[in-house]
Amino acid sequence: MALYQIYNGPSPTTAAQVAVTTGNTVKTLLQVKASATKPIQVIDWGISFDGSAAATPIKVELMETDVAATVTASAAADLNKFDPEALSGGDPTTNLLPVGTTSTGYTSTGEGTIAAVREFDVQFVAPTNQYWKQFPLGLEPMVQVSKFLRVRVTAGTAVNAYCYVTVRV
Amino acid sequence: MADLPKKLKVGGKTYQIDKTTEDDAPVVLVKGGSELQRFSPNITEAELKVILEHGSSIPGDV
Repeated sequence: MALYQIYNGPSPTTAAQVAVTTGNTVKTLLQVKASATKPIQVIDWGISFDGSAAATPIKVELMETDVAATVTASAAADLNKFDPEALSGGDPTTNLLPVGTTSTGYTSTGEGTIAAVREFDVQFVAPTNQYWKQFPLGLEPMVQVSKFLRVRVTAGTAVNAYCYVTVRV
Repeated sequence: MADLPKKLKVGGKTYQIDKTTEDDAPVVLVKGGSELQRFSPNITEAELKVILEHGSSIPGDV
């Protein structure tokens, strides 16, 4: 079992991580697909917004879905290897965490027609604020094989967001 | 951004590759016919070939 941390954007180099607009309709900011053979354990997740004025809070959800959003496909370099098992485990995109435009990626351009959801966390978060949650030991939600872990937001007015999940596979 | 060719032939289909930005975020746009797909700017040519051919980085896991 190895730990990976995945953000809603490409892994940065000389400049800071790029924040992504929430838009003002329902939008998946980050999606992680469980492979056909390995479920995903969610360790923690977080989201922050760059709004500078008080406004109606943004609906944020951490959820498992049966259907993929169409996303910008992540690259192997975008999956942060977090622990020794991950660091010594080679490229996770070839066996543990599939990447692709309907697999692991970020910034949805199509939400898909979701029929089944398991919500892991739902919150209102102010557009000037941030939220982070680590699941208690032994109570970490599991994403079933071939299902999709999503961080999804519904904002009234667009602001930019960072979000991430830490997962064990 | 990773070095990528402007065109890539995978499985008999030719894709056009464009490195650009959308909403101030760098992105690799890959167009094959009427289909437009978006990829991380960190994607490599080898990764791209596998995903375009199989729909996923794990062949058969779509």
